[in-house]
Amino acid sequence: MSAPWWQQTTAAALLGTERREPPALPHDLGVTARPDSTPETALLDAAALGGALLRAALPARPAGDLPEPAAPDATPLAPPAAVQLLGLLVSQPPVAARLRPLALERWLRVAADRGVRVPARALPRLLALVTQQAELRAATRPVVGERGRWLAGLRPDWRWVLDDEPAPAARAPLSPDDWRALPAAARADALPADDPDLLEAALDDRSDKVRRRALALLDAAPGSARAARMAERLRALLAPTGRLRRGLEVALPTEPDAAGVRDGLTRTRGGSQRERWLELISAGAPLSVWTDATGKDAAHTWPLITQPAARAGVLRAIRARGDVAWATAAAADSPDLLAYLPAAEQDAAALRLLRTTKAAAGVAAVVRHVAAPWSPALSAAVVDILRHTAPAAGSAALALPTLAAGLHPSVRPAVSAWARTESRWGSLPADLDQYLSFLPAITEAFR
Amino acid sequence: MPRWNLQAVEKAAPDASSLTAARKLAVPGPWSETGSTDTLVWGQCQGSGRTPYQVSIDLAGPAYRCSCPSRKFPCKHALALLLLWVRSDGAVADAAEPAGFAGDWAATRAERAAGAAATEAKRPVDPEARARRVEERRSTMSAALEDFAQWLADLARSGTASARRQPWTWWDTAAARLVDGQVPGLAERLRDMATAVASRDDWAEHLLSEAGRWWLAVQAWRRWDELTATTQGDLRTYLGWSWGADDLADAEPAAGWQVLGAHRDETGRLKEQRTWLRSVATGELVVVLDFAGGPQPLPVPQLDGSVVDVPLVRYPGSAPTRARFAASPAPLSLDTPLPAGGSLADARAALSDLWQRNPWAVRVPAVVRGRLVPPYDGAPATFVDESGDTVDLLGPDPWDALAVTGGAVTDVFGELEDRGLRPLSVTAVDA
Repeated sequence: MSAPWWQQTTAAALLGTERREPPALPHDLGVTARPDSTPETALLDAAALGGALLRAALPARPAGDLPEPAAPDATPLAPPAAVQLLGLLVSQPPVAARLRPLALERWLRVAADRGVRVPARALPRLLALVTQQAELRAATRPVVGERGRWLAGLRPDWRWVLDDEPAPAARAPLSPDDWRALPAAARADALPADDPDLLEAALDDRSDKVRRRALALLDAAPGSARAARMAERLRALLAPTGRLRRGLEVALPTEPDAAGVRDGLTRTRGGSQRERWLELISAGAPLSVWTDATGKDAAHTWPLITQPAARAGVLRAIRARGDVAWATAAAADSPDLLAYLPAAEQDAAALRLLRTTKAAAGVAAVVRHVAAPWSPALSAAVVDILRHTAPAAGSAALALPTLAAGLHPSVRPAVSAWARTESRWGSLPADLDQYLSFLPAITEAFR
Repeated sequence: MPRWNLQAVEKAAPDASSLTAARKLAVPGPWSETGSTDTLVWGQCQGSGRTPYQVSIDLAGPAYRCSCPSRKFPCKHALALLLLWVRSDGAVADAAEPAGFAGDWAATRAERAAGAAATEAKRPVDPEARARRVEERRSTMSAALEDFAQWLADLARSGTASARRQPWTWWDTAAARLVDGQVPGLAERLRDMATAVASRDDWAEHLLSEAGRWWLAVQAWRRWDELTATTQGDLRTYLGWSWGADDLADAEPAAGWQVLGAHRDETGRLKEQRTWLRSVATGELVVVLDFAGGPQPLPVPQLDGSVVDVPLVRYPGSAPTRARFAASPAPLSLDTPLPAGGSLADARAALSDLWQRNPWAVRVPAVVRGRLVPPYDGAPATFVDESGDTVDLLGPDPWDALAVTGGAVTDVFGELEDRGLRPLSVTAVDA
C-alpha cells in the first residue's frame, strides 16, 4: 500500500471532509472511485480499502534477546492427591479463612519433608497468594522447584522466592583496639556478649549508649566481675528470718557509691530510688545468691522472695539468662517463662499452671508461650477448660490460630462435642473441629 | 456426563461476589440431604430462615433451581453446592436415586422439554408466512443501515478527532438505534469502539479501518441478493441477525471432536464463549459460539484436550465454520495432545486468506510451534516461533501458560488476531 496515501487519508479522517478533501485513490491499486462519489463516501471507501490492505500486510517481526527457558527439574512432583488438596487450599479453603495460612503452611512443610515440589500449573496461584501472605514465604521457597525460581526471576513481585532468609552474618572477632576505633553507635552494636573483659571496659565508655548496652549484656552473664560486685551488694541486703530460715528479709539498698553508679545504679526521676536500685541489683547478681541465703533450691526460694522490686529483678535475671530451674519455679507467677523451659518440660509446667487457672483468659496467657504442637494431655486440659468457661475479653481473638496450631489431633472428639453444644464461643469450636478433621487429609495425600 | 472441575464452577458464576459468597458456604456445616447422580446434584442449605433452601442442579443443561429469593443465576447456594461436589471428598455422596425435591424438578423439566420438542415438531412450516417475516426483518434492517450510513457520512464529514471528544452516550445512542433496527452485531462493535478510542494509542487508525468495515457491511447489505450464500452468512453473523432453526441445515450425525481450547470475552454487555473444535477424522476446525446477557451464565466450557462425541449443526459462512451442539456432548477421552504446530507465517497466511473471503472476520485459530516468552526488559509477553518470528501475546494473564511451558519450545493453540496471539491451550513441558 502507498504509505503517503494512507497518511493523507488518516489526516483527512481526523479533520473531517468538511475541512480536508480525502486524497485520490492511488493508480497502482487498480481500483477506481465510484462515479457518484462524494467526499464522505470517498473517505469511507478509502477506509475500507486501506484497512483491508493494512490487515493483509501483517509484518513478520524478528525476536530480539530472549530470556533463557527454565532448567529441567530433577525433584519429584507432589502426588496427585496432594496437588488436588493444594488447589483446594489455594482457591477454596476447606477451613476457616483465618486458618488457611496454617493449613497451607502444614501442606508446604510436609511437601518439603518429603522432598517433592509443586507442579508447574499450580505455581502461579500459589505464588500470587504467598506474595500477599508473607508469613508463608519461608515454607514456600523449598517446594517451588526450578520452574518456580524461573518464574520468580521474571516478575518483580515474585522476587521473594529467590531472596533467601537473611542469615545472621557470622561476626568476625574484633580486637579491643579495633573496637575502640569505632563510632559510638557501632561500638554498642559490636559489643561481644562473650567477652567479659571488653564488657567491663565498656562500663567506662564515654557514650551512654555503649554503657547501657554493656550493662544489659552483663545482666545475662552471672560469672562476670560486675555480677560478683552485685552479688556482694545483694548479700548485704538479705537476712534469713526464723530459726528454720523459713523467711527471707530483703532490705532496701542505700545510696550507691561511685562503683555502684558505674555498675548501673543511677538515679532516675520519680518513684522510689531505693526500690529501683534493689531491682537493678537483683537483676545483675547471680541467682545463686538467693539460694545460698535460704539454703534451699530455686523452687523453694522463689516463694520466699516477697519484696516486689526484688521479684521484678529476679524475673529479669531469669529471662536474661534463660535459667531453667528458676523459670520452672517462677512460671506460675509469670507464664511467659514457660518459653524458657525445654520442650519436654514446657507441656507439664503449662499443665500444672492450667489446673490452677481454670479461666479462659488465663488459658490464653499460658498456652501462648508453649511451643506447638502440644501434648495430648495439655491439649485435653485446654479444651476442657474452654468448654466450661465463657470467653473473656481478648481471649477469643487470640485463641483460634494458636489453638489450631497447638491442639493435638487426639482431642478432636472433645472438640467435636464442644462444637455441637456450644454457642458462647461463636464459630470457634466449629472452626477448630473442621480444621482438626482436615489435617489428617494432608498427611494422607502425601502417602 | 463429564465431571466438572473447579475452574468450570468458577466460570459458571455470574459475578465475582457470588463466587466469594459461595466459597464461604462451601463447607459441610450448613448442608444436609446432599447427593448426586450422573446428571443431578442436590442439597439443602440452612440459611438465616427456619426452612433450609432446596438446591437442585441439572449438570447437563446446566440448569439451576434454588428456593432462595436471590435473582442471581446460579445463586450462591447452587455455586457452593457445586464447589462442595467437585471436591470429591465425600461431602456430596453419589446416590442411585435423586432426593424427592430434586427428582420432581428434573421430571418436570424433562416433561416440559418433551412438550416443547413435540410442539416444534408439530408446527407446520408455512413458507409464505416465513418469507413475509424475513421480508419484514430485512426492511427494518435496511432502514437502520441506511440511517447508519448517514451516521458514518456525518462521522467522515466532522472528523474522527471530533468523534473522540464525544461522550460515551453519543456512541451508545447510535448503538441503541442499531439495536432497535435489529442490527445488534454492529451495535456491539460501536460500543466496543467507544472504549477503544478512549484507551488505545492507535485509536485514530483503528477507528478509521473499523469504520471502513462498517461501511463495507452497509455496501454489502445494499447488494444482498448478489452475494454468495457464504458471504451472506458471514455478513448476517457480523450484523447480528441470528439464525433460526429454519435457516440451518439438519444436525450431522455425532462424530469425534477434539476440544482445542476455549475463551470467554466478558467485556461487553454480552458475554461470549468461543469453543474451538477439531475433527478427529478430518482435522477440520469449527467454532461453537455461546452468548449470555446480564446475569445469565454461559454454558460450562468443555475441557481442553478432551474428545467429545456430539452431533453438530453448522451455520452458513466462511471457514472456520460456526456450529452449535445439537445434543449434549459425550466425552470419549481426555488429554489428547495438540496436533503438531506450524510457523507463525503459516498462521498469518491463514488469517489473510480468511480476510479475503470474509472481511469482517476478526481471528483465525492456529496451532503454532515455538516459545512463550514472558514480559522481559520492558517488552510485553510474546510468542516466538522456531524461525525467530514473533508476535505479542493477547490477554488474559499469560502466567499460567508460561508456568506450564517454562519458556521451552512447545505446541500452542490460540487465536491469531491483527494485534497478536491469544494462547488458549499449550502442551505442558516437564511440568
